[in-house]
Amino acid sequence: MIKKITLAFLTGGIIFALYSCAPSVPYFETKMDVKLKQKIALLERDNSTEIISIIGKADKSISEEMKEQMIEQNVKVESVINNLFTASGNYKAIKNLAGLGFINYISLSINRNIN
Amino acid sequence: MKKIISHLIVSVFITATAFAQNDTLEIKGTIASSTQLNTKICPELSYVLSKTEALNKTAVSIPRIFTGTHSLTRLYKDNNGKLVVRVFIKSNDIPASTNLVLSYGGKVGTIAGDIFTAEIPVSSIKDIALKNEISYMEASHQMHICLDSSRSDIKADLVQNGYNLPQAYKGDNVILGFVDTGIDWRHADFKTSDTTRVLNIWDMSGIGTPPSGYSYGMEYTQAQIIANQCLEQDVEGHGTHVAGIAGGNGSASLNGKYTGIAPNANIIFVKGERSDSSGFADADVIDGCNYIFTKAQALGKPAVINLSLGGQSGPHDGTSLYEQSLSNLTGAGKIIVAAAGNDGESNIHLGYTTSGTSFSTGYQTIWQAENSPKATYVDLWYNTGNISVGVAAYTTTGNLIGYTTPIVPGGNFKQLFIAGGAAYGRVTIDATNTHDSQNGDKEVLVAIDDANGLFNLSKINWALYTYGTGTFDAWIMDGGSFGTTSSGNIIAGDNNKSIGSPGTSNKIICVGAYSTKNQWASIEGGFYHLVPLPTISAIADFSSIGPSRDGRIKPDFVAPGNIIASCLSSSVTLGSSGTDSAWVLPGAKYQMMSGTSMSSPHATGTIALLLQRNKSLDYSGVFDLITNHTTQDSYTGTTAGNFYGYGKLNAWNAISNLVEDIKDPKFIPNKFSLSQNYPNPFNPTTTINFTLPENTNVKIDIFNQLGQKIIELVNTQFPSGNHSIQWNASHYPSGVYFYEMRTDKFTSVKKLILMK
Repeated sequence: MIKKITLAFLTGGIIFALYSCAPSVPYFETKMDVKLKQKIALLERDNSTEIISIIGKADKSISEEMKEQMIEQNVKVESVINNLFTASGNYKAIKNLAGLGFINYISLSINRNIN
Repeated sequence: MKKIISHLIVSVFITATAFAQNDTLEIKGTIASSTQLNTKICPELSYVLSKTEALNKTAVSIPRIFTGTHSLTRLYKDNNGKLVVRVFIKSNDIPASTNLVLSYGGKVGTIAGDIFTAEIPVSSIKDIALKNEISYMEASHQMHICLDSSRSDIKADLVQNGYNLPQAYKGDNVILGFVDTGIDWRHADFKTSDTTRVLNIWDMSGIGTPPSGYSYGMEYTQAQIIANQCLEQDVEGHGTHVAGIAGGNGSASLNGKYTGIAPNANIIFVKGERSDSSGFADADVIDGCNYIFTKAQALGKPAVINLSLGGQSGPHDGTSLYEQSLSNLTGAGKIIVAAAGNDGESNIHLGYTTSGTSFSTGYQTIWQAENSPKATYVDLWYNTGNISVGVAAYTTTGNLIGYTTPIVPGGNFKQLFIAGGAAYGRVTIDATNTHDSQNGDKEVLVAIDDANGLFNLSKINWALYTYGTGTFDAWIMDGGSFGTTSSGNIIAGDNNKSIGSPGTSNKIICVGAYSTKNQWASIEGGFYHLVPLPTISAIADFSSIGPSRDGRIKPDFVAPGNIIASCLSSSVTLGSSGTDSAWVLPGAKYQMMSGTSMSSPHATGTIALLLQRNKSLDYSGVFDLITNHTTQDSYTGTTAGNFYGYGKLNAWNAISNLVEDIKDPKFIPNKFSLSQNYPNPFNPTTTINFTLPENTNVKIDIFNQLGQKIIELVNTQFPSGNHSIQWNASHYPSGVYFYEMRTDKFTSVKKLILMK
């Protein structure tokens, strides 16, 4: 559960409202990189159905059974490279994916440019 | 592609007509000065001698009387300021002649039969020409500024000609893979006389039947490509250019002038940009590479994949899941090459040890949001300490507008930046990653966005401030750059550690760029050149700088990337709404581009040549072969560093030090051969490789300079195949020796140098 703390402070006549996360964070968030957490927070706020691509890591080599469990979370699994994989889904699916016990870590797929 | 400021101006070549007025008088005497010389050099070179001695010119127009037409013999100043000229040399003893050229401070280029190209000091023309081993010397009339010269610069032409190798290597039976903007599969350089060299295309932007196991894009087979049923296009032209460098066969150019590095390899191409997004998503790049390796494996062929793409997001230490995935895809016969990046001139990195306890006692760096971006991001990483991070804002005249609260490790902030009743943008600071699961480090993500277009982020100057304890590295991922001012508690950004990801991966070959050419003849007419004019042989200004954040030397090495001619996609729009025609070469089949995107495929093609010789090579094998046998010169120095890496790519050095895949029982050489020993010079052991097409007795003896046999290395029966023996010369003095290999059908002698 996210606990919001509001602090008011005065700095040089400028007031900022600070929203800070408490140490306690949802289980699935501990498995996500910050860019993915930010992205999901944005999509969640807008209740968006946008599909996001991710790169994931399991705690062991991914079996067919594990892949099936991932698919059951409404994600499309593309490449599987031992314990690493690529997949896509909406933010709800990605959160569900992160909740699977064998999922170790998930990062947001970033766009890169040609050089 | 590196975006070069397109200041293209007509080159300063001295025109033919400017010289035409008084040529006749000045020719006399010089040509008559040596009858013997006249029989060994062309009239143009005689003329060059007279002109340069008299006028100290840097370009000489040869009058019509000698050539039948005006032509231009270009002279250059080498690194030492010495005037040099490019020539063709015909010789009755190629090894002796090339050594002769080198001994006079010249450079040897392409060797083709009994003729080779060279660059020689003008002052040495006479001396070299008069040597017995030189049959004839002819001036190279016109400089061609293109792939042909970069190919010879990395000695790939020698490999393609099989010079001092068991055979010619052109990438046969190897797959070149690409994830890029697309390929013009219709281009003649990607076809043979009867078929296409492109085996598959996965168009991720297409709609149709995806490859097996994937859910998006459209896959095309070789049969569909041959039948003109492929709808894939390369409208940007980048991928076609890159593919042409690595593997174009030069079919669309006269005499194959623009032949790439591995012209006989097959191609599997992934157009990696989806229709609904710009750029290349990490996950798609992984999928593309996995697809290519899977296809190659099904064909039983090794593959090398080129990634001329990258970005600054991530920890820059090889531990991101993106870089781990790519590294894990590599293996025996599976190699990935990445461009180092074009941020060598960009202030996108910031790194220092912070201190202080507040905004006013900490440090700040100007963070400019350029061209009113939708957002600009900084990714900050450190491993020890506790750093508080915040964002400040200044007017363009330098007055402080305000600053956010500092975010401590574990904290998270997302709020409009409001000061004095006015808002300027939305700031996000996420410091919740206090122990990254992949590398154990702390990360702070800082973003400033325009809140869906409400604000112009470029109206003010932003600043990143820190205090606390710790040494960090931060990169601007997009939309801005750090300031260059450094004063008091203001710290400047820099261009260090600017190698992008995936270039910092642990098992990917990372390639920077140096300049081999700076001017070209355009379809527009006349010559064009880059402004400012790059220094030939020096690092390209744009080439990103190492090391990786975890301290590995990067790039691994450099290859030609400035400026390169290669295939032009027919889908590119030329003119004011697309690619400026000034970049396009006469005939409209090739164009100029520069960037580490162009250096990377030089390495990719070279690795295809290596894989042809040994299809089992893995990342470590390729890395060692190339980095241990680079070209080192006055620019690179002799110590590895973070500009040139371990030196300049040298394809011939690498492949001549590679033993064929002797583990492959099916591989039987088609001829006898004795390779040059390696290392050479050596101390005290060296390896000698030889190949046998049949079972036979082999005798190898070592002789000294007096012709006296000093040791019999081997005299026994060998089966057909590739073989390797070593000589330990610890009991012999330094000097030149010869090794002779004899069978009942083959004899060969080579020289080796023991240097203690």
